[in-house]
Amino acid sequence: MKFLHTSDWQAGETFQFLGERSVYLKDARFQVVERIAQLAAEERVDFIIVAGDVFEFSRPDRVSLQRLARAMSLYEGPWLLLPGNHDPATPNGLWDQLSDDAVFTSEVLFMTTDVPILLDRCTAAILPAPLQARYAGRDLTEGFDEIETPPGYYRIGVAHGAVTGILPEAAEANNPIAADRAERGRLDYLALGDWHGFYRVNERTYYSGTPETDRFRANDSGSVAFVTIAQPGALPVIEQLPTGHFAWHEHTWVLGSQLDLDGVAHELEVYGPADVVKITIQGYVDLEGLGMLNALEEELRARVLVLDWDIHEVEVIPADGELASLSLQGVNGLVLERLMERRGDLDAGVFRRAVVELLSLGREG
Amino acid sequence: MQLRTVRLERVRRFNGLLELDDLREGINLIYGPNETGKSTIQMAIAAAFLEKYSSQAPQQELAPRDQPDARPRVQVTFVHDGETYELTKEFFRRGGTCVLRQGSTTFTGEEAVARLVGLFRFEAPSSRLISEAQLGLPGVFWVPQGGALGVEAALDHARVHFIREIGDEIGSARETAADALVERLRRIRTEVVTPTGRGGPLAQARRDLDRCEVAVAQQEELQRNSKLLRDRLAQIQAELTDLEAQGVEAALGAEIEVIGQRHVELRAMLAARERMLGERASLDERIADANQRLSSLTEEIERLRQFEAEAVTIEGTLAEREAELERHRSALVSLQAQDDRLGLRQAFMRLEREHQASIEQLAAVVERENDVRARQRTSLEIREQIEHLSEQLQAVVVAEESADQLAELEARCVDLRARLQAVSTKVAVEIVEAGRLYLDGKAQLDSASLLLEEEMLLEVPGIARISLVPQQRAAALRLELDAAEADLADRLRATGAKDVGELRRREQERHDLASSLDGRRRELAQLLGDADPAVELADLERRREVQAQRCEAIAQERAVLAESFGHSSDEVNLSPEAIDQLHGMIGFHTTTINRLEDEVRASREERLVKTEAIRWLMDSVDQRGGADGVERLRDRLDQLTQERERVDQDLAALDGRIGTEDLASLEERSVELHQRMEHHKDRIRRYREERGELIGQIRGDPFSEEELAGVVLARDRARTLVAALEERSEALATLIEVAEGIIADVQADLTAPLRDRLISYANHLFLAASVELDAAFKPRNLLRDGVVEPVSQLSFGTREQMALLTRLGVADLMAERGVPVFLMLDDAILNADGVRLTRLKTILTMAARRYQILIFTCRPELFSDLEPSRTIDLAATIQRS
Repeated sequence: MKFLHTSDWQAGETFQFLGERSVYLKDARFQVVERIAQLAAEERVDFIIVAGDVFEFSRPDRVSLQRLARAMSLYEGPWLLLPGNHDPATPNGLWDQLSDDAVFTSEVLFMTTDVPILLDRCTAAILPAPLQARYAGRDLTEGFDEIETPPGYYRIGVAHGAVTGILPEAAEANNPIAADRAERGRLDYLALGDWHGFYRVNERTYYSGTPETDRFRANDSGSVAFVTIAQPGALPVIEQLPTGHFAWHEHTWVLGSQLDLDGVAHELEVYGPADVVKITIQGYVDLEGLGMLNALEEELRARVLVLDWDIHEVEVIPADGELASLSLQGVNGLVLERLMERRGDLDAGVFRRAVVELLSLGREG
Repeated sequence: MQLRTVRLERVRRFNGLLELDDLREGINLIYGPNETGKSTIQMAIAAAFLEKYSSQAPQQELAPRDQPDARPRVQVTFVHDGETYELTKEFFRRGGTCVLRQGSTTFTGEEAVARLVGLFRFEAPSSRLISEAQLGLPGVFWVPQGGALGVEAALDHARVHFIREIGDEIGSARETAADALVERLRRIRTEVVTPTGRGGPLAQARRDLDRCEVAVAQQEELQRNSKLLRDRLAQIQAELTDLEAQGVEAALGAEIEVIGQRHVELRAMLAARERMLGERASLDERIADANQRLSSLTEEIERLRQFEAEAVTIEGTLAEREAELERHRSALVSLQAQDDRLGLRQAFMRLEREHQASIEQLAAVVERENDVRARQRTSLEIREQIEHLSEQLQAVVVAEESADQLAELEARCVDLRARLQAVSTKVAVEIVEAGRLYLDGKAQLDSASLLLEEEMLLEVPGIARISLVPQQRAAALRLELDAAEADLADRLRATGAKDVGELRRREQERHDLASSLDGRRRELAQLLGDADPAVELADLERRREVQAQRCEAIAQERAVLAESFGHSSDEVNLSPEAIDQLHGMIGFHTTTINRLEDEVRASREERLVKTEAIRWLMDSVDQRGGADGVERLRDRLDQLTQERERVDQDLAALDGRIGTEDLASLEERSVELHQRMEHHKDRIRRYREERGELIGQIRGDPFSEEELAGVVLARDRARTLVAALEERSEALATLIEVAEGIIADVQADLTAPLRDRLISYANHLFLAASVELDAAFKPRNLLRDGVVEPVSQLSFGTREQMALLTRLGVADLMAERGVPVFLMLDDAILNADGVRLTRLKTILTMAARRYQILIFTCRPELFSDLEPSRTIDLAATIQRS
């Protein structure tokens, strides 16, 4: 038996912290589902498990629902969708509405209760632990231990939450999952969601991570788990298959010299249209450096998909002789001189912008 | 600079040549009365330096009024910076000339003009007269009469030249550069914030932000509503769960069941109690009945005994009374026999009187009856007469018209006939031969006298025919008469009378008949009055018969009485006292007999009653068993009493089981429980309905978190854009502010030299005063004794003096920098008071050490204390010329 394990699609996420081009990242959440569906179709998997957080919001836009349904239609199913903490199966909530609206095909199964789903075609019993509220406050997978499934059926658990004491960083403990649940629940495989990076908890328990990276944290995201189990009780074979399109990069530099700035420019040369880049620059620059920074920002913003550019902590200190330079001779120099005198009273951004404007005038003049 | 000579030819009033020579450094006082040409000289000097020579306008301005085609010519010589200049301008349309000799060098035409423009700092004029804006520095130095206050405009024109002269040393180029920078910055800022089209990027971004804020607010409102819906649903679900968990319905149902059972039991017990109460009541009734029967029987036996004793007593009394009654009756019979005879006699006498009176009354009735019959007959006769008269009256026919009217018409006919006869011609025809003469075709046999009233034809055949024509008047009268007679005949015919006399007789007859008829009717009415004789007669006849019967009856009674007392009359002739005594005795016995009869009757009735009662009592007692019945009744009563005690005990036991409960309270409780049950069910139903409704609303809830996130994203973008634009706008505003600060500093530097000089002069003129200038070098405030006075609010004279000091200050600065300066003042200080005038003259004297001053005045005495370098009496000069 083989299936794909994915989670945390977060369809509908707006990435509002990334400005106007974040719309591309929102689109990417749907495009990656298309790729997963294509992959599933190519690999002829028995089913696909989505272990929670299918939607970013418990009340998504109807257009997003339609787009998701369209993206999923490339694989006929079955799709097994589990509610997560972002889209819990609250009474009369999203999942009830999905059931009513029939946006998805009948091969898309919503695991909104803990009733096992039997896939007779592949002799698999899917044991879901759906969140019916954002926070359960207890281990919903406890029930797996008691549930009996038909003999000879694979036992596949699906849950969304944080494995207690295992994750490398402190994750939310609101939806805890016992680390040995697979063993205690006699599971062949426990498909987990909530952690956005690909992570192996134990030989039968995995986080698939989000299939399209959605944050700057380096957590091995942007992939799905391709699970193969030879027979019930056999150890699963997990293969991490990349699905992400965009790469996220985050850099912080502290400038102190022209050489530093050249280095920054050099490092940034590698990024292109599939990159989401966050740059934080601190330190100080002279007037020429400030001009270079502006030019670099403009150039980089045109080159990469999304640029989060933060130079708020950059201080402008004219170099010796800069004020006497050709572009700042005469009254422009005098204005800059007086501007420098008043910098303590001015907002840093306003000051920097004023300097840039003045330099720009000097260049034009 | 020193102006040496001025020569005017063909200039205004100076048609010939006017020459002012030997003008010297310092003050030159040129005086003369009004209209001696002071202003013309100043104008000519100014024109020599400033005006275009080949132009019609200055030529026309300068030419004598009576010589428009003259070529005015002005020549001035002056020394400046060690060089002697001679400037000659001849003004004439396009043919004027300009020659400037500087030492041995001569400039002509536009080259000369260019030299002058450069030398004196003004703008070359066009073909028209030089405008104020072209005057440059000369505009500051040359003050026409009454034009002292024009210094502000003059400074505006001179500003550029002034700054150029003093700017280099104090960096005025910075001001220009800063000006340009500010201009550029403002232009750039305009691209961000100034409204262009719909308001520029910042305004647009703010509008977009506002729209986004509205969209976010709308979404948040939807979110709140959505949350309210879900919270309400959760609340209702919790309420429902609570209600269901409480098992209210089951508890109420069980309680209702218990109450129902208890109700049935209680109803049964109450029914049993009712029965027992009925039974007890029945027993009570039966006991009471037995008691009553016992009491009644006992009482009857007692009463029987009592009645029997009473009956014996009554019998004794009755016998006594009957004996006494018999005695009184015997006595009364005797007395009444005596009284009866006495009574018959008196009755006969009374009947006699009544009989007599009755006969009299009968006679009166008969008499009255006869009278009525006589009246009845008379009335019948009168009625017959009335009928007869009425018939006669109806037989007499009268016409509508009266006899008087027709008599009047008849008299008129008579009158007409008399008048006709009077006007007719009488024709006497004598027939000689009968039958020969024909009148109107008819043979006339006898002689006749004719009245000619109409046409006539007398003809004797074969001999003559004579036509007689009556007079016109006679014919008219004939016509009128005929008409009247015809009318009379018609009207008479209508009345049916032969003539008017007959008609008049008829009218008289009718009148007489009517009078008689009225008289008879009045007579009848008087005779009868309101009474009907027939009715009255019938009544009288009845009364007569009644009265006759009464007479008869009385007569019979009298006869009977007369027959009955046919005994001795002695017996009845008792004395009144004896009669009274007799009557007293009869009354006593009668009364006693009546009383005794009543008593006997009463005793008999009493005896009868008693006897009847005794019999009834005996029957009753016998029927109820007599004395044995009493014993039986007492036994029965004991039994009933015992039975009642048993019922009371049963009832007490039942009351103990019933307790304090009653059906009403149980029913109330049941109703209350049912109501609570209904309320509970209703509440649940309402909750379920609301839940259903809420679920429906939630399913149709338009809120989308994703959409909210979308609009928040858009809002944040808009905010970012606004912040960026605002930052840029603020940055540009800061740069503008800094640049304007630089400009202000430069301007302060530029105004400082002039201000220093002005303060020096002001201290001289006003003592301990200071002056503030604006950016255009104009005095803005005068500071005296610590008080700031806006120059615009000073008196005219003081403003005039401030203007003069400003000109002097500019002249000082320019003279120091090698600009050719000489002042022309045309009565420029006449508004100063004595002290100020003296101080002003001192100031002018001091200034004149640095440059030449030409003072033109019509009042030279004001300057008598001055020591001018040169004094020109213009009038004398003109006279010499």
